[in-house]
Amino acid sequence: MKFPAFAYARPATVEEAVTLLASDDEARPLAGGQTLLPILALRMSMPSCLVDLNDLEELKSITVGDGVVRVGAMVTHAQNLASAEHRTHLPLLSAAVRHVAHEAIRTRGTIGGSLAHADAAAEMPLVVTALEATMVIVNQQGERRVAASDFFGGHFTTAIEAGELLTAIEFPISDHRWAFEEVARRPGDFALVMAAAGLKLNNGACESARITLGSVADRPLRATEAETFLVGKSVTAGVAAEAAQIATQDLKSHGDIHASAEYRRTVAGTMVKRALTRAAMEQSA
Amino acid sequence: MKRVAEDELIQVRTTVNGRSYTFSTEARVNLADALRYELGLLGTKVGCEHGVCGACTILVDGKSARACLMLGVQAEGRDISTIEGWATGKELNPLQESFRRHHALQCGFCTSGFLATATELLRENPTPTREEVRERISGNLCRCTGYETIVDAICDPEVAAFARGEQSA
Repeated sequence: MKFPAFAYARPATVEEAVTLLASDDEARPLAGGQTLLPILALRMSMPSCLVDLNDLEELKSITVGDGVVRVGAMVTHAQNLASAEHRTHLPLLSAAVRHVAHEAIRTRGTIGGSLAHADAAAEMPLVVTALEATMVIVNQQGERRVAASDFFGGHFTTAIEAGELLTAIEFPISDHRWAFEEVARRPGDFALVMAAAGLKLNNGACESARITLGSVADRPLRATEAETFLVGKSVTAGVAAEAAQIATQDLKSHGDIHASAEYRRTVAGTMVKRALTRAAMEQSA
Repeated sequence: MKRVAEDELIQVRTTVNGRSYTFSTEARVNLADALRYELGLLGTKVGCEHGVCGACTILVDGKSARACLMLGVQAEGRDISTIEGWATGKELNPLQESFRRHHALQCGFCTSGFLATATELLRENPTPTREEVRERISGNLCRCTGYETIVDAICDPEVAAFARGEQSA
């Protein structure tokens, strides 16, 4: 249970970090370490070198401008939880990050680390999918941008290539009202099932809806059919239940020691119904 | 810092419980082991070694963190607080004394981690509800007490008075 041996570097700039990563295919960036270090302790990965990003102050800030909230990849979950900007502009992120692990983990764990790890049961992948965020990825040639919908390639797989670094996440400020629901065995555990719902209402009728499910597949899922169904309707309890039914009827979830596939599908419906109902109430408040 | 080979020692300067330390360690050594074996501070316990049990929880720059999920070399320039720093001589601080009075420990292995978690919570809020305490300590495992007495100890009025005093100090 001790970490395997690795070389270590603590670059002072993103450029240096990318050069270090590009020079060694087996090197890995070390963000908060709240996932990578357990993986090392369990010897599920044995990188040749850890490139510690903790001195990269440029990746630790939250900035708001031009209708976008830009969150540096090294911003911690604790920072996101405390952020007044997020409560105003990204209430879904504020609501979801409360469910990420425990205080002592949130102190060090980062949004970039969570996204780069891409655990389908983690909250941050769901949040960036629901809010249609853009990932900013840097390599030696420069910068490229990847939409959240193209970023996740399945369990623990993302669009980040060898020698690249996720440096920021850009969230467009949404005019939807948001609600987040999650079921987990204990506070801080990974989600068994979670859902986010966003509604834009006009005189009580739904103009646009976004429904995202998490922890039911190898990546976050948008329920586009249910989103289309809601357009033009008043989101009553009955309509929310119908949308939940549409969102989950073809869901092929997975069973494991924590929950069966059938349980996940059933609870996913309940999460969608509750999230829609709460998002609709947010609007009238 | 340039790339350092895996078997090379790295010098670390840090502050633990108000005292400056310099030690040398390989990058692979976690902070809990560095505290225990480089500095001889054995009060930080090593349980699961992958961030689940909370036994190694310490305060880094005033915030709780898992010492097993930090590298010893990441202590560079940090201000660390561990169980060795919380009593005055042989006199327990009021939170520690409350743990004793409420039988909030039996074997004691998890205690320093619980105290770190509770210390941080009480600094934010000297009078948390039982529900808030339960949520906050959900990241620390105790296999002896069943947690009730730990919640009792943290919610004790004498602890609240102490925490309020710390806050205004």
